Amino acid sequence: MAGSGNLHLREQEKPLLRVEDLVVNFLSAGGETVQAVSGFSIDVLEGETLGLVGESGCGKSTTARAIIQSPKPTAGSIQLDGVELTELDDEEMRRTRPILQMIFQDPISSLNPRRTIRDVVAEPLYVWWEEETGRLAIASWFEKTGNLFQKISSKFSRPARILAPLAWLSLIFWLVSEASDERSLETWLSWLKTPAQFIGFPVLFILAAMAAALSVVGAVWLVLAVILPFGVISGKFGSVTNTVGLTGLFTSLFAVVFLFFRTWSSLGGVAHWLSSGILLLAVGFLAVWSLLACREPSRAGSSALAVLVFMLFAIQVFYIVGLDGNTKLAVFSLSAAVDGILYWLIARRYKLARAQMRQRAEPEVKRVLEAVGMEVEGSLERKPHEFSGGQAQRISIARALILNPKVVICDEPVSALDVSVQAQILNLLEDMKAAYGLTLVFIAHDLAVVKNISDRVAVMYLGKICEVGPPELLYSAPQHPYTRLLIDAIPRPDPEFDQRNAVRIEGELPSPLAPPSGCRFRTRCPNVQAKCSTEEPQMKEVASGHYVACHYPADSELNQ
Amino acid sequence: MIKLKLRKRTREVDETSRTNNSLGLMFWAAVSFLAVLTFCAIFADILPFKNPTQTFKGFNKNGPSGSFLLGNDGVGRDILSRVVYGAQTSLVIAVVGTSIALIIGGSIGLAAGYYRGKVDRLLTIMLNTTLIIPPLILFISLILFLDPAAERRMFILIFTFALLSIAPIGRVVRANTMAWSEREFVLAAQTIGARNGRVMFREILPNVAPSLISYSLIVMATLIIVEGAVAFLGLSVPSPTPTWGDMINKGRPHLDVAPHITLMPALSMFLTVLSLNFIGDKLQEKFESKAAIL
Repeated sequence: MAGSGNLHLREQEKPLLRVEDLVVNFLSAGGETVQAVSGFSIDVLEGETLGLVGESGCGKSTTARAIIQSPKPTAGSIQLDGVELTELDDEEMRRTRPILQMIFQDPISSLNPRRTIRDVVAEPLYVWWEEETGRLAIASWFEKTGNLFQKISSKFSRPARILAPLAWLSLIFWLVSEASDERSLETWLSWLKTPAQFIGFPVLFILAAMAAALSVVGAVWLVLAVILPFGVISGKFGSVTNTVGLTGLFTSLFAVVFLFFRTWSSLGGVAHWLSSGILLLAVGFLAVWSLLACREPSRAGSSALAVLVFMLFAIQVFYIVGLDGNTKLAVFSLSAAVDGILYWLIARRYKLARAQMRQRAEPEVKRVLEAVGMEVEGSLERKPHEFSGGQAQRISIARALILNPKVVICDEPVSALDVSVQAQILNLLEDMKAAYGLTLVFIAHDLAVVKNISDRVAVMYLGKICEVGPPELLYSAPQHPYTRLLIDAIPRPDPEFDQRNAVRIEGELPSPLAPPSGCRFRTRCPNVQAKCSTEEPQMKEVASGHYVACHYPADSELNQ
Repeated sequence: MIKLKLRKRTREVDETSRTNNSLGLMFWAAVSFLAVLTFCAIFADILPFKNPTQTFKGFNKNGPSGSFLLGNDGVGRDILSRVVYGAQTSLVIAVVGTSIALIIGGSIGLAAGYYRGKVDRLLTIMLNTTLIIPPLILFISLILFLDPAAERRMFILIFTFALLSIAPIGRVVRANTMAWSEREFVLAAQTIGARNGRVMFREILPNVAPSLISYSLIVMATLIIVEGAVAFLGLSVPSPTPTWGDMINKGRPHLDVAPHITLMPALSMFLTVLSLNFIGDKLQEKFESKAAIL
């Protein structure tokens, strides 16, 4: 078995999920290649349930993970609703994820133990809402400032081109003249000595130059020098350069702070290196922030706030450390009060936003939790470990459903559950499928489990498909010897039937490091022939919609 | 007539939950000792402590008395105020050093444990490189090379301590992150569409944090001891500024006649380190037993 060929793919029916020639290889610790999945093809129509069966280690879960691109497969194509997932970059894939959800094997492990059920279930909504609001706020801000830059640049573009270099030139002249002054040269050299300076000298030098310009050459010149050039380019490069322009604005703001600290630190001592340290930190954060802002504006919002808060705190701490006596007490209590109010405001805003989000999510959370049959009252504020396995699995189903996905991949969702609970969860999945029009990929190692819920069953062996077909055909007339063995292995509630007389599968799964030649099942196949080791079986249709990859399927002459 | 309002006591005490949640008297004793010490250290200028550098003539090597609660040292300075001012140095070095190591080592460990692969290898090499530096040689060379004038000793000490604690903290975080990343809720968060940063900080960090906090308390305690050792060698903040290690060192010649000069700073160091270790252990125990339920 375990054959290749894509005969079983239904081209004309436009499947929702289409996997073709999927290959997943891992590098083992010894440097060998583990061929977990090799040439797996399947398609799932909209509203269909595909059952994927096979013994442990055959690559079922690897296939599931490859479909959700985590990790990305080695080769092959995965199309979801016509979109080729393997070609999407990380960000595009992330945006596609809501329609492709997954339910996991271990229900308790798939819920974060430190969060309440309310947050666990609503987290998908939080992720996407936060991103949306963040993007909107930042976008409007950028638009405003961008317009300002546009205005300035359109008015001053010509003078700026002349004035900006002049500003910088005069700055350099001033610096040279300042540096030639003996006392100030000494100051510069002493700056060189501090370790912070040692690391960030170039950055500090530029900032110091700006600050000096600010104080001596004059604020107007610097503003012209810093903002206008950015304004000029912003017309050409759009919003990204607005970020750069903003960065320039911030840099000059920080230069003011720097100037303040330089004056203060001329008092000497500890303050000296502290100020440079803070500045270095600030510049580092600023650099990271502007990089983030350039790459994607929506990410800059919260980090900008974090930078500001952190800066404020750091400056205060270092400032207070540098003071002594009663001044220290006065400044300490004053800044503590100011901080208190500020952080209270931020925390309140955050809590409010959080509470609003919770409130907004509540009807949705209740809806899905009720849909999966959970008692909503009293369970929202509980932690995952307060629930049983079956309940936890319901919760993770609720989480998968809250984003209204199209495809849900169930990776052995009932394997870790009691038999009685298994049936409940299976029924629940059936109901959900009917209610939400889901397309399911249902993975199990137990043929009996998938029998009733699947529209189509695929049997996998060592990374390849052996047999695909509708369950009625596959279970009543299994063609592949492996399928037959699996079906024989299902315990039967028949006292006459002696399970020990059934044909049993011998041996272990061969190593995926060096899979057998030809048919991968030949090492364990009861009716192995010479051909099996030389030639790999191809998919062939034995009945309508029933495909098998075996040289000698059950209905062939040899077995008659 | 006076009306007395009696409040009925209806609070039910759940015995089992109380024993599980209480951290014990010793824990709170340790916390309050550290709180008092920190308070005194921060407001030493304002509180009625004597000048730590002022020598009181005629009080040399005096034992504890009414006006000098912990006695006087070899040149007659008040040991109590020197212990309090010494706590300033020790606490600032320990807290700032650990915080820097926590931020840097924590982020490195988190990234290494979460991303694995090449990122992990690179970051682990970085961490291990700091482990091969012999600490004492690093101190001596940094102090001699950068600042023999002793003006910025504190900065160099904090910098070195932070550098030395990055690797241990980073490795603890990395190992923890790796263990937690295996959990399916991490994959679930990725499947939802959460960004890596969100997965790391919202899903993994809250789970790593307990052991991280208790471990960094122990690192803090270690730093206090190392600062003492460094001060004993005369490499810490120079002499007129009191530090515990320096006080122990200076009291050494008088051990036979005035053991309290050595004993008092040693005792405060001992109690601080003990408290930190105790709090760290207790927290670890509490969180571990909670995690064991899962």
